[in-house]
Amino acid sequence: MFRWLVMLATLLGVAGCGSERAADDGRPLVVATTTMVRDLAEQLGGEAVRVVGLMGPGVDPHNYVPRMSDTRLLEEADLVLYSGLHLEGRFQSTLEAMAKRGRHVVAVSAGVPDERLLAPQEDFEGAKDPHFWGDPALWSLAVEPVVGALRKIAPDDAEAISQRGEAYRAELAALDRWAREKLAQVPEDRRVLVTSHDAFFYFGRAYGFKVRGLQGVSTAAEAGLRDRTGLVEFLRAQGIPTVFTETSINEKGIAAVAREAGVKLSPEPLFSDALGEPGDMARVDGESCDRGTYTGMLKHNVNAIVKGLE
Amino acid sequence: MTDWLAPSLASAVVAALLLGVSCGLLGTIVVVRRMALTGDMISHAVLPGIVAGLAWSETRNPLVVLACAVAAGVAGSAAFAAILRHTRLKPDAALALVLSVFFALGIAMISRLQPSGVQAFLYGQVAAIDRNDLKLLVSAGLLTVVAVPAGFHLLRMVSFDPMFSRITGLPVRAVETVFYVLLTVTIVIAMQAVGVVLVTAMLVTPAAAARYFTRSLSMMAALACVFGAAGGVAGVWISTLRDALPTGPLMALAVTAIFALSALLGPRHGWLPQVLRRRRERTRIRGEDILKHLWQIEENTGAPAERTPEQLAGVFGTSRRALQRFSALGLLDREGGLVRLTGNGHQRATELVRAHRLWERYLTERAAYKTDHVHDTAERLEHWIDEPRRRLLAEQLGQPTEDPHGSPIPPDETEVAR
Amino acid sequence: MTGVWLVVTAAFTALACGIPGTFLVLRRMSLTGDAIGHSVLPGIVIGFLFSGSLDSPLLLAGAAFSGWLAVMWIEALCRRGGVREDAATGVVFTAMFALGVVMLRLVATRVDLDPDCVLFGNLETAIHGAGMEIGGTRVPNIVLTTGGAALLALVFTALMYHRLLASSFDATQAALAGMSPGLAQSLLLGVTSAVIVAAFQTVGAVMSVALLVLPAASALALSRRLPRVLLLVAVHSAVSAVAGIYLATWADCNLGAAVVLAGAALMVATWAARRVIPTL
Repeated sequence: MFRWLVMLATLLGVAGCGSERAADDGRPLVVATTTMVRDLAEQLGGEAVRVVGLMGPGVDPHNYVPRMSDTRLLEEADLVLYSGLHLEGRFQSTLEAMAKRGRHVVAVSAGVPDERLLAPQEDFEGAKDPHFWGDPALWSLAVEPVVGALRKIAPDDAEAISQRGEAYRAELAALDRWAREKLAQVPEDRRVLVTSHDAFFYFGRAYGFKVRGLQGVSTAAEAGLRDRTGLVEFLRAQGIPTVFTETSINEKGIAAVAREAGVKLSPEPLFSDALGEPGDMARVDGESCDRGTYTGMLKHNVNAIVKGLE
Repeated sequence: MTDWLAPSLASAVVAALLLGVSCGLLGTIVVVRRMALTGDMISHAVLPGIVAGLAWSETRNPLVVLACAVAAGVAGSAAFAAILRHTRLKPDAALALVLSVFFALGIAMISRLQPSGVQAFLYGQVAAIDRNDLKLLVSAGLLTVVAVPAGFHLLRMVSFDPMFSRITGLPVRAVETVFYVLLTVTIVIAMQAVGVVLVTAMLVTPAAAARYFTRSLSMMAALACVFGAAGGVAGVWISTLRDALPTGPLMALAVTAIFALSALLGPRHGWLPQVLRRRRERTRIRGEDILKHLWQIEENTGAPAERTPEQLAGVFGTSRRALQRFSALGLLDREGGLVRLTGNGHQRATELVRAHRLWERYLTERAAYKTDHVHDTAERLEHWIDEPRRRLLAEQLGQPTEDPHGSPIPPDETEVAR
Repeated sequence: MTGVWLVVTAAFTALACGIPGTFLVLRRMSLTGDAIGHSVLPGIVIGFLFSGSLDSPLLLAGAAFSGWLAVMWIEALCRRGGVREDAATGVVFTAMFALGVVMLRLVATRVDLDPDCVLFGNLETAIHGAGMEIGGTRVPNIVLTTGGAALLALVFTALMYHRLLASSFDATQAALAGMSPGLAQSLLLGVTSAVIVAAFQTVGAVMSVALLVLPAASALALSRRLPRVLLLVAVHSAVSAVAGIYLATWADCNLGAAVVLAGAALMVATWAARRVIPTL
């Protein structure tokens, strides 16, 4: 009896939140896995398609626990977009099987040629570091496969979609220039980015930062003790003033490292594996940006990094 | 070289020590009360509470999470009791049900709320243990170290004889509740180090290992603490040898290794001591058979018997160890390559024959054995009876002088001497 | 169609686990199921090492062997080592799980094989995974795997029915009658390992314990005779699968967890009904 009541109460409370999935309105349905991919689809698809993301803001894609509505969405999708490079873990083999069956499934990372991808620090047997959106130039390469896929499912709007693709690529290029300028404010000896997990190698390569994470490329693997002590030594040796938390990862681990090494914890977290809430505005350089979008996210990150390290 | 004084390593070591001690103490009670898998139930049942706490508390306050977890644990225990009371199901089924259904609730909640930080509880993250965790661990550890020995007497009584305890007015309910809450708190803290599944290892394995060394509850608890702490620290050390080695599982494997060693070498029920014990017994029996053999030859031929080891081997099989042992004990004389009875040996042999023939009498007279069936049984029994019992046996039978086959029963030599 | 496959898979999984689980419950071996679920991990890693793929039957074989090994060790500790059964179970399954996790980290560095499969299932997405063309329709592999597991469970029960019946209620009697309870036991454990592995994708290892025990736990409220119990187990499996789908849809939560919760609700309802209607 008791247990039944407890369960009922919790489920009612939890379920009462309601589904965030939009209702059907006749437009082609695009299902995206991560928030970054969802944002890309929205930017390029505009009003021509209905985009639904499986993972919400702040959700860690490495440890995603699937739920019931995912099935129906995957079933009804006219196009499924995912990040790829094993970011989504065992989900990826399902998506690949769907693609093999003739379903319209596209990995946005397919737009990035192999030689521009990084191998992760650990010996990952040919697998690549999936966090390529850290570099806007690479994220720009993801536009083409998405544009191509969207044009197929919304042929009436093909022209508009292509134009949006062009415009977005230009926007990303501008973003890249702005980031480079802004980050130049960080002195040479401080260009070290330490975060909760190895998500920023592409960012680091693009903008000349040394990068180190407490956990490895996937948060599914526990941070080893040696990783932690090594990181602390590294922090002390490099004389870095600030380490950064990430929104999708509990900050306990990195906070402990910060305390031990005597460095500050950045007041602003970085967005690594997920964007913020759509509509979550922030002011950067006098302009407001939506941290629920890729561009807003990157601006926020750059701003936070500069503030923390200068 | 690993810098042991580095705070992160030091906190991991301190955490391992404290956990080892707390879990060792609580684990002793748990193992002795055959509640070993209750810890497993608790660690799985608290998941809904942990998820609720993490999702609820914006600042991820560990005390909030702990409070929610304990509430879930208590709910689990109530559910367990309810199942036992209201259904015909046995405790093992009830345990399995609470464990898995509460866990399912936790997973359902995670799939809706997707809070970050659950991973640390599911898999353990020793590297993420910070000062707050240590404070909590120290408090819980102190409480355990103080409460358990202080309440030891009480716990022992309640554990072994709950009925009596209740009758004598001991606060059984209160003691059980306090123990359960302490156990739950320790488990939730331990989960952050070793993960949900392996908490049971830290609780049960050191205590089970300690069992191989003693029967005393207090000794067992002390040893369990030592094993738990040692295993925990060893696990921490091993995980520093390479990058990305998971500390939690290594701690569990370390305490298992200690358990394996105990199972092999521990004086009580340990494999090696048992093997050695049995071998000693076999040697003794072989030697005694040889004594009897020589005595009977003397009885038949009238002259003291001498045999070579090879001749004896022909009758009994290789007996080198028995011969060595018994000549060292002064029961056999091996001069000139021949084996003879010494005076003491002769006396011991007489006792054996006496025992054998008394047993034969007993078996035929009192146990309805047929005369031609008694020899083998008596042959075995003769090695396991000592003097006072021989005397008792003789008395019971009315001091007989002959065995069922007509052979004379040698009189009790000590009595004769008197 | 996907909806149908979901129900079918959930029902197959529940049935595959519930049938052997009935005997586990009767023999007071519910926690052995829990132990097996955790102990299969090393076997899976080794199977993955040799086969290189997640869909290989080698994984299943490795898992079954691993689970069986665990139970052998538990028994050895009990009989020869003088350890009580509950403690022996705790020592062995945690050691094997720990071993599995360490092996996983050292060897299978690709993120695909993660220990999450022990903790929860991903039926929602796996239903869209690879499948086979059968008679014009695509049947997802997971349907075939769980269907196969259910079939195995049924065939096993049919073949060993009498031995299981005898030794579940009175092991000594069975031994005297010349049936080897040992053989039935070993096969039961092997089958349990196999169905647990088959259940990994649906519910994960921990929740498969619920699927092992819940149907029998409910059925025993209504009957004590094995044939009827087994029938009720089948009914419970089907109903909890369907109810689980509804629950998961309404609450929008993990499907495997929902099936378990639905089954639990059904169990509580059954026992409550029994108290209210004593003539049941």
